[in-house]
Amino acid sequence: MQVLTSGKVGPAGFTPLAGAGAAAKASKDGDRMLTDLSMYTYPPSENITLEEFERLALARLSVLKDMEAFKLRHPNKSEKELMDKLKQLKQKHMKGLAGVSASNHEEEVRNDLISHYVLRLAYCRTAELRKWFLAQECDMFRLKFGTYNPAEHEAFLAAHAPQYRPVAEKELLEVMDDIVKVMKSNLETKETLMRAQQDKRFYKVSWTRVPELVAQRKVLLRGGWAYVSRDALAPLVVAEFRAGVSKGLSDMARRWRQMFPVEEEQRLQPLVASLTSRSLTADYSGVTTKYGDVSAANLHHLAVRHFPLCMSHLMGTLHSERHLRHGGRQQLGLFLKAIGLPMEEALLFWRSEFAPRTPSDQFDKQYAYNIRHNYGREGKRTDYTAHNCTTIVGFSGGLGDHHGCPYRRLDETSLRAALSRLHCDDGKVEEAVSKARDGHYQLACAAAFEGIHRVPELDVGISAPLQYYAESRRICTERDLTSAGTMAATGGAAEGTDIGEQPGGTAGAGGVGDQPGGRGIKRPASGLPGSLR
Amino acid sequence: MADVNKRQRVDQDSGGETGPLAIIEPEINVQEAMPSYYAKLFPHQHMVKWLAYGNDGKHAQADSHFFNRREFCFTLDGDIFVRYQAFKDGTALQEAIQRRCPAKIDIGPVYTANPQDRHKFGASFQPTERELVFDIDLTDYDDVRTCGSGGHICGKCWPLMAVAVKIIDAGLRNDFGFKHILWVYSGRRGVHCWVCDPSARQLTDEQRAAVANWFALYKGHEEGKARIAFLGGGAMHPAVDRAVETLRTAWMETILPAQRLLEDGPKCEALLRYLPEQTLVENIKKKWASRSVASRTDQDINLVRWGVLEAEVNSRLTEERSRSKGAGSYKVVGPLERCIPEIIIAHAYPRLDMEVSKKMNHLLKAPFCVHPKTGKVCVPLDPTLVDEFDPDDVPTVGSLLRELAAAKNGGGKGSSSAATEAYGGGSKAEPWRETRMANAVQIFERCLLDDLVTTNRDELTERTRVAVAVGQLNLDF
Repeated sequence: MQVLTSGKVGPAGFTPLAGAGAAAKASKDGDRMLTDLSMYTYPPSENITLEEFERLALARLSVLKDMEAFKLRHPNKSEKELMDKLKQLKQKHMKGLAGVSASNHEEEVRNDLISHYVLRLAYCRTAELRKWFLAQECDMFRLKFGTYNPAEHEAFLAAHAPQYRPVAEKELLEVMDDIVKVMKSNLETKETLMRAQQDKRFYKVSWTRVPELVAQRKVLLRGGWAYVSRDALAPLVVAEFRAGVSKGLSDMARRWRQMFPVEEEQRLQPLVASLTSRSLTADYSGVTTKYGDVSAANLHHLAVRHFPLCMSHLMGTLHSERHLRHGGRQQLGLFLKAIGLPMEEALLFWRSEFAPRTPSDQFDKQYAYNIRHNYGREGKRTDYTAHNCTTIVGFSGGLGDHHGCPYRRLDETSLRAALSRLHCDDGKVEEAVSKARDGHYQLACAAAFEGIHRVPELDVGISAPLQYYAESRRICTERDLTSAGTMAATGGAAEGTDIGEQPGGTAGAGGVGDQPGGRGIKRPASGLPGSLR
Repeated sequence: MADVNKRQRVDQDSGGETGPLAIIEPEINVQEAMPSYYAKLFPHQHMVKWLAYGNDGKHAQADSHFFNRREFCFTLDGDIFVRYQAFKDGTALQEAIQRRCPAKIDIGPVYTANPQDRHKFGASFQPTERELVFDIDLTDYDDVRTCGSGGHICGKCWPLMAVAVKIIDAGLRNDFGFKHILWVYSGRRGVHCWVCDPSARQLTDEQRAAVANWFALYKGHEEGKARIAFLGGGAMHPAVDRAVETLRTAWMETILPAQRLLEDGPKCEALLRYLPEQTLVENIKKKWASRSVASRTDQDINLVRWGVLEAEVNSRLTEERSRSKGAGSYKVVGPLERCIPEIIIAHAYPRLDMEVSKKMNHLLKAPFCVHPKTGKVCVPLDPTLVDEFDPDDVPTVGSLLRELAAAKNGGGKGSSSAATEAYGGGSKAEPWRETRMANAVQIFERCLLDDLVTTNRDELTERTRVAVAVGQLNLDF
């Protein structure tokens, strides 16, 4: 059992912590709000298990990251659509964690609070992490707050931001004329004026909270109270939210050492530290069993159809130059292992690729040992896992190195050429290039995937080359099955379907579905079904 | 010695810095008088009572170190600046003042620790509290006053200060809700304002800047005209509106005639530049020159001319408005509507020294200091009586000492001896009560101290309540 209270993690015992006195207890009761919108002023105060700690954090992280990716790929969505997407993501990641009843508001609220604070802990250490976290949380808050109707606004403010007091009707009558004058003097549009006069919901707040508005005489002041319209309220509340979370983050960072008592250094601290670099997607290790037809012979064919650009680029360079430097060998080698290339096949493949420039015995001396080591047959026999996108993007290389993420490394012309060589659809090539230009490499890869396989948008982003490969094979397998089915029905040839340029209703072309892909491969093991260039 | 006439009105054309007004008696050296001043005239107890804000009492929640964390700055004879002076209590302050006889005493903020220990604390030595202050100086109005410039001050330009006090005082009370406001004559050519509410003392630099900007309309000069931060749009902010109303009254009653702004001369030309149309200006000038206007004797010529100016602008407005069905072209009507308020604001609206107000750690001269050049005492002002204040009739250190001497010889004038008896021989400890200083201190009490005492008590009670709620106190009744 584990304890989390007032930002200070208590001893990992079974005794519940006394809590920070009356204040914390009162706030917990106050947290029983109508919805899960919160200013997160008070941290949660209860005992939860380590598993739940981790699970909630990862769930919220998935929501935030998916939301970010969604917004980046669709910059012009309306607020309603964004809100729908948010709800969908929350449903997907965070519901059902409570176990008992997914629509239980209290559970939702509790999970929201806990996950926020755990992520704060994880994302407070560096300025860059803080900036990202703050940006995502503020966006989400703004979105949620913006979709509230007036009554909900009032309830929220009453519960969480009591410094904003609604102005009573009688008082409003007295000040309305002056408020209109203020708005006119600030050159507000007629529509804003009309809306303010009709809405009739005004709030007053102590002037000390809105110094920027006071400095520009944008509000009416009476006896120290500033009168703001409901429209003007949202940015203020968001600003307060932002300030609160930002301050919380810096406080946490400053008191990092106090966050964890000594006993937790081995348990909680590494867990929290790892949260930021964790891969959020499922493990794709089942790939080797599902598509167990990988051998040295069909690698090139697989490379063209199923490898992500990083790997196919390496394959191409390897083939043309008959050599790869260490970084490239590692990146490609581990990937090949992950997709199920057996070690003997790997040795065969590398030897034959290197053969024109490297004699066999030299190959044995210089490269064979490394390959065997990767497969865990030498030295300390570790089973190395293939790299994920984050790591690969981070690789640095000099001239003559071809590893790393090509969306980052290659210039635009080479990128376009490479993608068209892979038969990527032109529109998607442009999209990938522009995403790469903006630094969103994984989104560029996803765009390329969509272009090559002619699928509408991928629901999940690409987070590892292995994932790309697995998805690619799954889609092609599904297409095979469908087309094989239709072909069988029409009595056509067994194989050799034109995979990719499908006529009629590709079952797999619906983004990520839940169809089991592994129903066995219908293609012959060594088959290049038809011409596919 | 001859009783030198204290009220030497400065001739309108002398614009000297100090002039004969400054030195009442050429023989008195202000600096030499300081020891006696601090010994007998400076109201030490009152100053301490103010600055302690209730922490000098025996209340359980009184912070006994509060006073010690306040910075004082002494300017000693010879312009020697001694900062970060701090004192344990009022007695220590009084003793130090009397010993060192500073030419000027500045008050700084209350810090997180005793300023004399500041080096121990490094970055954590920060100001925590400080009154909200304003400084208005007549030198900032040199471009709109004709009676003098620089350190000059007289009954003709005092109305500018008076209206500034009224506007800002009203704004602070009505808009911001402040209650404990002290206005002080700065000793030569301006006024200071000290806002002492607990909430005011806690303001951050950003909030102080916000207050200063709220009152700031004058944004420097451009093309020979003052730039007014008007957004126009057909309406003024209600606070500005109210200020303009106050200004208009003062403008007509005192400022315009006293400064003779519309009599021929550069100031008049400058004023006319605010009118948006050259034809308008020419019409006005023509009318001024006409015999019917020029020969009027019933009113000050400036007011007469102003009336003509206003009438011309208004008729032009009517003409323009009727041109296109009541509204008129906004481009033309707008400037016409604005020009008259603009003129009044440019010439009379308060011009604050923004830098003084913005920072918590800005040092400001304490009330009851003596101005080293003029010998005048920085006396408190009553904002409701600010029109009647006469800057030429401010008590000086010389005049006060003379009053003291007179009181000692011959038992003093009737009222003073009665006062002495009323205080039961307290004049020994507070000799100033027999002089005009007593009036000044009375204003200090009335405008600030009396109400402050109540607020201080409330503050301490609140602190007790909080302490009890947090469970730190164990009260046994």
